[in-house]
Amino acid sequence: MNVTTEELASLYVLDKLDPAQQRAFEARLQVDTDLLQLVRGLESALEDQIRALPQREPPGASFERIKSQIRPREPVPLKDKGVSIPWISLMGWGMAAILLLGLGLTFILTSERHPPASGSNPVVLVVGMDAQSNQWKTIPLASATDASESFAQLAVLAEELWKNPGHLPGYSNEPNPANTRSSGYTVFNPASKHGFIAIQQLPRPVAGKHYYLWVKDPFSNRLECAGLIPLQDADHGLYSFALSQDSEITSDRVVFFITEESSDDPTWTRPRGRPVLGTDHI
Amino acid sequence: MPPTAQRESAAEEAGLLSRIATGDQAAFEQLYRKYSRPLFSLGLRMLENEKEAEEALQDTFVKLWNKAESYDARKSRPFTWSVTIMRRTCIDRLRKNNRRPVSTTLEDARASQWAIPETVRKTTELNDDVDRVNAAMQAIPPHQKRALELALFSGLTHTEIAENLKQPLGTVKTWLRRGMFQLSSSLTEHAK
Repeated sequence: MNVTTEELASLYVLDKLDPAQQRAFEARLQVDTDLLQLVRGLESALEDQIRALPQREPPGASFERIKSQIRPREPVPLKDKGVSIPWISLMGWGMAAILLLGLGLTFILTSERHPPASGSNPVVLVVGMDAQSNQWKTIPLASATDASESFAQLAVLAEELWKNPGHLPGYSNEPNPANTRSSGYTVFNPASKHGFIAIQQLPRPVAGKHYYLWVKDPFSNRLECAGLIPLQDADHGLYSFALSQDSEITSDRVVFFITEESSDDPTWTRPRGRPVLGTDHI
Repeated sequence: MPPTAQRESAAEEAGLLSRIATGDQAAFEQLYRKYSRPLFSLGLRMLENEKEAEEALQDTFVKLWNKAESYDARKSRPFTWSVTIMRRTCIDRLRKNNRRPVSTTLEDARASQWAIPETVRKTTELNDDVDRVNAAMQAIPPHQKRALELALFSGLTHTEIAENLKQPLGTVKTWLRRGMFQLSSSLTEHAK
């Protein structure tokens, strides 16, 4: 790494680059893993320096005041986790990522041998979708110590299924008929209500339309919009979603489907457009 | 914090930010518990005023809630991203109030009236991580250390730092690069 690059990296971590320099440097970070590692090292030094300051707790009421200033979110475009550039492998997180990867693979492999979990055992629901149907698979889930670990487990599983779609329920490597060229899957943790939706193939929405993901509990008939899928310039993508913690969808077997809706008519409560992936009934 | 622990922590915190982006208030509270102390301490260091530091902390967390969706793990770690938001918030406050940026040294800060109570300070100073960082900072030549402290805590641009230190801009950039790399190298060595 030459001196100029090292200087730019130092100024980047110290937030001393001007906006144009910063954009250019961030573009390099996307493709240069050596540079990314260099920046990660400098970030560690910065973090240590901040944490070594004389530490004081903020006043006790601070968080309540912050909470009073934030607003619950409207449904927002689902977060693109970047299938073309796997987010975990790019983080440079070393062992943490490797361990999680192993865990994800374990889920898939053990799911072939064990019956679906039931009752209070933690499970993750994998739903394969095509243009007309949903296919389920329930996979036993190792107990996570907290919600973050559970979320990371789901992310890894979603990415592994992307790389190894043969493990998906209802998977067929036969070419899809021309009129059903839509496929995808979801992984969903009914306990945490977090999930990932993977669009393996879906025609781009026509101008003025957007795709919305819906979750339905077929036993209670409750229906919720899980968000807007920002499928703009590609026919595939992997996105995270979450139902609110007080969601009335509580079943551990839910259906997922995607509809095409007018951009100027986001009702959020009921789908009005045509279904393009999955189905709203068993 | 040792580098391995930082990486694991970064993975967990990125997960929290993803959940916050979907409106998960429990994740937001978890992130607050993790970051409020170092960010508030940074605010105190920069603003030298408890009330202002608290307000800056509140502004920062509201921004974290609103901007969580734009967090990009390929650009920075969650902690660095949050520190950048906090620092910019503090700098805005300094400029808005037409206050001169803080330019005391770390040693001055420790002795100032807003610094932590003695009992807490003793506990903190016994902490291995703090000792490790202090030792690494002591190993940096004084002029580089001064430039780094101004870059980290004063809110000055690197041009203003050059003026403050009465040095050419190129020299200050070199000091910052050398200081950062020596600090990083020393901390990595200490962690082994």
